[in-house]
Amino acid sequence: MKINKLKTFLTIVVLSFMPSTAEAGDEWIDNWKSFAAETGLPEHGAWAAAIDNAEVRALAKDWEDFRGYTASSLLSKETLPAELKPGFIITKDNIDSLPWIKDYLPQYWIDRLTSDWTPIKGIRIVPTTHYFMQRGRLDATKKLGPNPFVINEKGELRDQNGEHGFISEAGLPFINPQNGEELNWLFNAHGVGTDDLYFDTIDMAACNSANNLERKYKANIFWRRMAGRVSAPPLGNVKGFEGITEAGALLILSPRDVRGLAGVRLRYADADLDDNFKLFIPSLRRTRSLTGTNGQDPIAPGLELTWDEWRSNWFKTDRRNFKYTLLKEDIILALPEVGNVYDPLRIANDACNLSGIIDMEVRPTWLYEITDLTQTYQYSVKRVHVDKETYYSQFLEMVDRNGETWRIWDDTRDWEPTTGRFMWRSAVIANVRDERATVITVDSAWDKLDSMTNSIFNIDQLRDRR
Amino acid sequence: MNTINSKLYINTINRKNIFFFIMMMSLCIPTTYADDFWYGGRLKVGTGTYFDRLDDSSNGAGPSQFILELQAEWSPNDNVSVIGDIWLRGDRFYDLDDGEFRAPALQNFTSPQSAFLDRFNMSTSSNGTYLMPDPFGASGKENELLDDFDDELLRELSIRFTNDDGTASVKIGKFQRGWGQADGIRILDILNAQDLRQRTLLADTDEIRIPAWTIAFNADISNNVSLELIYIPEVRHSEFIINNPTPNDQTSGGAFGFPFPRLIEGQSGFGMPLLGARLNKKKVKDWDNEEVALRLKFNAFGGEATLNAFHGYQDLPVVVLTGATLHVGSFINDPSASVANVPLDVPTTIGAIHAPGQYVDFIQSLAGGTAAPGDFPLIPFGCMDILNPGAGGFPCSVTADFDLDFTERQKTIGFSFTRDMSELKLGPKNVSPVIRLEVAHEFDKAFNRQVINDPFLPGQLAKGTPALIGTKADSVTHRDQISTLLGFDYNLWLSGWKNQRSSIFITSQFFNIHTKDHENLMFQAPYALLEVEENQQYFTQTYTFGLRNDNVILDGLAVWDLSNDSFAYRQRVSFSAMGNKLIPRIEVGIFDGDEEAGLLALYRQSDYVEFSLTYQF
Repeated sequence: MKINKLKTFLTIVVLSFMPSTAEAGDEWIDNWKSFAAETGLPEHGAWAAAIDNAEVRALAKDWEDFRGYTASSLLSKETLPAELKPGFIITKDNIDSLPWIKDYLPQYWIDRLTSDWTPIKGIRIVPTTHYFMQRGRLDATKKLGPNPFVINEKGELRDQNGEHGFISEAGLPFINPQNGEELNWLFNAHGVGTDDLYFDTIDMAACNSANNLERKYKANIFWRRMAGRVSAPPLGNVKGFEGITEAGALLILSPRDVRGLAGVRLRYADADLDDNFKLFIPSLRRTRSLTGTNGQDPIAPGLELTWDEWRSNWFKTDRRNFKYTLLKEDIILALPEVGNVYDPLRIANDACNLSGIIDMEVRPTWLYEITDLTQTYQYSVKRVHVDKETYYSQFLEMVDRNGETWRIWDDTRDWEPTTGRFMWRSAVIANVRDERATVITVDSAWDKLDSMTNSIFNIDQLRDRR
Repeated sequence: MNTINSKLYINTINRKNIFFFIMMMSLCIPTTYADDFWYGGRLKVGTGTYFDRLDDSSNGAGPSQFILELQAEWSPNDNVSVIGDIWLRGDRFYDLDDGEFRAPALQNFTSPQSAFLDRFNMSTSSNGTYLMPDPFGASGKENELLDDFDDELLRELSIRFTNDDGTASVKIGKFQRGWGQADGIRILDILNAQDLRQRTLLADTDEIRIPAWTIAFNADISNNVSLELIYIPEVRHSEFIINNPTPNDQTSGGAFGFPFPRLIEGQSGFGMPLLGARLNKKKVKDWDNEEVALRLKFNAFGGEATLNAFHGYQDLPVVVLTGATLHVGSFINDPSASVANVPLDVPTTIGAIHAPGQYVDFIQSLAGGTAAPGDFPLIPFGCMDILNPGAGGFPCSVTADFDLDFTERQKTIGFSFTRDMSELKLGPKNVSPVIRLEVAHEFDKAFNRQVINDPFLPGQLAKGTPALIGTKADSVTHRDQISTLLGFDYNLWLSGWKNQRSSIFITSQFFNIHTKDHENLMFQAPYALLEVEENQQYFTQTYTFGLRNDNVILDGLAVWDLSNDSFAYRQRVSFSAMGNKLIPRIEVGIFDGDEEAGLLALYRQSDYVEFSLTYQF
């Protein structure tokens, strides 16, 4: 943990023991405070303190007013099992007595309670948090007129003038999605949950079926929304990146033999334009163009993380090649987005094991399927649970071409409650078929976001950045 | 242009001092506390064997190279980064081989029945005995450890500054920079010379390039156009070793030394016995000459293009005669065994070779069957008549002195282009290939002539090795050369493999090197019989593929010299252990081709297999 992050944590811990400022109507905050008092765990107290302030209340209320619901209000309409409440710990000893568990907990996590591969001791249910995005995104969404977007025959998001919706508008599309395509675009619109993203650093551990570390990569990852920026300069669309919606950059810092490997990927709004993808290869000391059509390879040897799975799912929307089907609304247990304060996965120092009880919260989601129509993509189907507050995935399941589950993705976001910005804290990309996992730990560099420039997405400048 | 002898020392000191003053001042500028420091390194140790050797009789030591490398980087803030990289390389082969690895040496003067085409051979790991029948050898001890600090140990020492928005940067120090799109065969990747001593072209690209003290300025002119200016005040040439058996200049580069050239009189096809060569590197003086280059990069036609220009010096030499020594008392060019070593200047040397009745005439008369006792041209110096040894006299031989002349200019312009061919989707996953295109036009590239006018007989020609015996004006000429690359990269997914985890990355490259007025030019002196083709063509193929969840990486590289029908292949099998800190690797290299039939064929007796262990941290 970086020093400044530790300071933040300690400050929040201290704040957690100060008198409450909670007001009536913020039950979710009260729930967290009482829960934290029950567990006595400092990280829980710190999270309760992090959300217990006026800024959070105001922003949460504005989003609630706009959406007409909160996670709590949606859950209150459901009949949930009696045990499914904060404080309950699911273990291998009691799981057989919970017949409802398969309806709420992905099979991957059920198996972790009894398996020797990436085992966990238990799953503690924590209170449900009310998540939201930035105020600027809310304001931009409010400004949208009626029926602002359509999806054309290629599956592109277009505005009423026929322009690319991601380029011309900053607001979120289809916040009440009626079908899989609309939900897919809402998910896409979450982007990375912020205008700029900076991981300093991300650790990506390749772990085998014996939970041993095979390789570990340390890297910087940068991300910039190139259109529809609402909170960080340059606002609006970024000059010089016309037609581009997002840009991602990767700079590997270790191991030594790939240190300096740098990649930049630019995503065009046009469905017919493949990503602009460049890689600086240290062993050549030269930049190579890679095809944007091949996102199915692992980012680096040994990893389960492919280029198409940056931010859980980044392969390009195209209704000619994929079918997007809304399956149902679903209540699931999912990792909380509390990464700004602590890691609910509690990844062990060996980078491969989860050291104790993990935390999960009950979340209202939409479940949709992305079905490959070409019979050529690495996955025949992707099943995505999209959170109804974050509009980001809560859990992904990826099915191989034989119809068997191949990989899953689950993560914890580093969500900044006072601003509604998201980055990441940790993730597990597990290859269920071969019992391998990529375990990711992130230090999100909130204090360095202002230093990001467009040049990071210029491979010739990025290559010399190390 | 300044050569090693043409400038006052004080000039060099000034320029070098100015450069280092700038470097040191630059290092002092970043006063921010170092909160981002990284260090790492590696230790690589290998052992191997050379098989398919010249004499087919031994299967002993092979490449046994080691590398100790330490790297450090410091980025006090986003505007400054400092990099240091130092490495110590060596090869224990020279110590382990016990003199067994053989390489071709001088023409065998005892084999007139072979038209003197038979050759002695030499040991490349022990010095010669100078005793018949196996007189030649060189220990190569100087290659056991490459430890010259500036030239060999210091791999990078640089500082880079960038402005706040990252649109302009300057990097100062010793480092390397890659240009162009071609892999393996250089077209525009000419900023740095190459170190061919350890694994010739089969080493990793970044390990072949020789870093140079450089200033590189980069600026974004607009979002899609950037300019790079390069200034290199320290001119480096490529490093290679010719396996030279000549006793007063014996050198060995082992299996990856360039073989001593065949010495052939081109008109008769006879070997030229009793000739050796002493080689001297003539280079422009460090810090007194410079290379400059610029590159404009921009987007075009849906891809990325560059325009490049380079004005510097050749990395490989032309060969220029500077004189000779007549050894009276030794058949094997051994000055210490001679009763007299008679220096010959250039005109005398030319006369001794080309004048009527002299060496070339004698060889041609032998070939024509008209030579008679008493015709041997060295008899007047008291030398033994090789057609009539019974007549008495001293054994004699001649060592020609040559400059390996690196002072010729290299003037190149070119462009490169790369593009994701997204319109073309192939294979089971509809993946597009990436095209790479590169063209360079080099003006007035220096070549040795393969044929020169006979200095004494107007209208007559001298061909082959005798063409090297002339003045520089006679033996060196200049031609324009146009080099072209067309390459494709592709991620191969196999249609029958439903759950293929990762693609097989393959690259294919076709090279065409067109030389105007190519006739009678040497491809690379001193290989006098290797001619420049009008269109010299190569094809390369690589693949990289991970097995066992990428814990085993297969990496193959094949190079065909289409014009000379020669071939090289390198196969690597790399493993990952201890969290990728330990990397065992098996590497096999195979070379095939006729003698001196192109660059690849030079190593036709250097097939190897090496096992190495790398520990990195």
